[in-house]
Amino acid sequence: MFSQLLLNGIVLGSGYALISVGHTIIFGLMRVSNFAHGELYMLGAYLTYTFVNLLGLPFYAGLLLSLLGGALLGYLLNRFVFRYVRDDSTVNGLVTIGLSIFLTNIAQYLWGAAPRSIHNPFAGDTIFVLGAAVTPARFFIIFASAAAILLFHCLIKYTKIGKAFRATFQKREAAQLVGVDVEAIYSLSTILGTVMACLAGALLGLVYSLEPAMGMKAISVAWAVVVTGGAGNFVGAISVGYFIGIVESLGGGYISSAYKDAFPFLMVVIVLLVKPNGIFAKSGSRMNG
Amino acid sequence: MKRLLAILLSMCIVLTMAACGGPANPNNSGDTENGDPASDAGGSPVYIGCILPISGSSAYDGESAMNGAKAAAKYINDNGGVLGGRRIELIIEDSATDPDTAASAAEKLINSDHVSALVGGFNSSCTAAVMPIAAQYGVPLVTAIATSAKLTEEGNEWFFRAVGISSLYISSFAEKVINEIGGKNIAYIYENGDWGLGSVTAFQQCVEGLGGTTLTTQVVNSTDADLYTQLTAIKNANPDAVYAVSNLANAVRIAQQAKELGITCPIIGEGAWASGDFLSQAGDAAEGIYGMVEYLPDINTELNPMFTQLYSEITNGKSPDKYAACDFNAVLVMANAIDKAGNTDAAAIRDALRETDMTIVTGSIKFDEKGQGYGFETFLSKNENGAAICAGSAIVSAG
Repeated sequence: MFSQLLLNGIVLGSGYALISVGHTIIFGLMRVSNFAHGELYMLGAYLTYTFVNLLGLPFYAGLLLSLLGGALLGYLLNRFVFRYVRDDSTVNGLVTIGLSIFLTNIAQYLWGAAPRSIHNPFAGDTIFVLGAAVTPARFFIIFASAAAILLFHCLIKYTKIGKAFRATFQKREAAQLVGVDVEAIYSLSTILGTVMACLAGALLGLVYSLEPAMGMKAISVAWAVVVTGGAGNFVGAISVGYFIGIVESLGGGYISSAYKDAFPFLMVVIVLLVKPNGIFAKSGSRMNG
Repeated sequence: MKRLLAILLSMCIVLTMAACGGPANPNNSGDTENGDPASDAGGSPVYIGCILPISGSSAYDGESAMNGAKAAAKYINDNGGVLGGRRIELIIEDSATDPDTAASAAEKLINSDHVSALVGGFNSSCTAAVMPIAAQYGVPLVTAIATSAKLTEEGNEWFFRAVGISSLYISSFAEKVINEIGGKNIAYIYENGDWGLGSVTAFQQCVEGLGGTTLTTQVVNSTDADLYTQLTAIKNANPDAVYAVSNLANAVRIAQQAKELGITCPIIGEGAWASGDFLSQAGDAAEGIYGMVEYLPDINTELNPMFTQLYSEITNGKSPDKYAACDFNAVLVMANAIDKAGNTDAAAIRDALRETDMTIVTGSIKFDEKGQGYGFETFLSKNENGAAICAGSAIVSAG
């Protein structure tokens, strides 16, 4: 039972980590309190559903197209919303709450309220690893999330864009002085955040069913993860994301499934009491992960 | 540019207000369902308020229920209406699957639309929120979907339930599960809320009364997408059968994920386990699952052929599910009471409801002194080759 619960936790955690990385970019770095981040995750899932189920494309093509769709969405989001509200966290919080309600209802209008699921491209039955059942789709989720997170990490750490990215969020004016196009960086980071959320939706949509309201749980977990990990800290977001998934799974399995959702948040409360800036925060500055 | 924006904004505000407020005349407010205008001769229509979840987490099932109610209104109006030729008109309000919204909807229907009666509530929690308002203003309320046992125990004389609750038929099904389908060791999983807890508790009591045991009880929260945790605990307990209470979304998840985890014992479910949508979405995983359902499209009752045909006409070829059948029944029962009352006086309708003795889609119905309906059938379904077939039935007995 332990190995099964642990594995379930890792699958859950993969999704949480992906969503939280996106949320870290948009909230932690750009300081946009994006309450619509869960809806970006939801749209990622529904876009994939549209390409794969409704238009009949192969899964990988559908996945790629929905990530491109996510990039476009991210661009538009920054160009028409975040750009005007990003420096006032009260205003951007309110605007994104509105956006969240709007997107949920648009999704219900477009795709209906009935739960949907994305065609599973992985044939084959459940595999048993050390007594734990895993479907090929779940394996794919674990590896694809890990790959995406690694890729993102390399982009930030080892490329010139990554350097400009870090510079912008450490000191916007100084970055501007040395010739960084900060508008482009803001645009790029919204795109990255949105694509990460869409990827999470597309992957988890393989094993979970899709509903217009599915972003609600995602955003509450994303907030918990980002706050616990330390705002703007990627290592924090990723490790806490996986950790919360595992805590939720083990707590639900061994203690009580009725309070499954409560365990991660209980942990958040404890962390905030002990270390108000988050577990991984150093000296309160951003981009130090 | 600024002026244009100001004009646009004020237009938005005016339009929103027009949509929300509306004039007091019931013809223009809410979503009224117009039937056949030819039968308009017998005077002003009788308005029935319907509170259903058109949005929120039960939105999909709410839509079925709404179509069922519309089918009933059409059936009644096509057959001469009520009170000597007056038409039934439904005013449908959205509960948004939220008790507070349901309560506001009831206030609006009673005070602004002046409806003669209320139907619906749907979710037990929403119905519980509407009940005190119905009692406060003295408006009869019939529900046919909310099955929390508590509702009829509140002593609300304006409330009637035209659907069976688990405790009234569960013992005959529990016996069948222990003796024929599974065995004595049962694991439970239910969707968190009054309904799930009530149904599981009732089944548990019957099973334990018959010498069975409870191995584990797992809860599914409305936001859970992954049920591996709960199902792992069930698999670990190695039960003879699983008793599951859930609506569509979680029923699909439970069936699919139980299959993935290799849970092979029979699953007996209350909720959406026999609906066409469940069968199409759960696919292979739906095979062999038993459901305790209020209605199946292939049942052999007097009104069922008429109902399935009428429903198909209204929805462009859909097959009715239990929500559709239940709300059809509810509107039918209410219309019958209005007709028997002889006028639209609330107390007269309530007294007529108490004396109900009529035929609905699932058989005949009467109400006991608490307002709980009995006498009609409820069904055990089994999913075979992509279809839910009737595998047995029980009569909902008087409490």
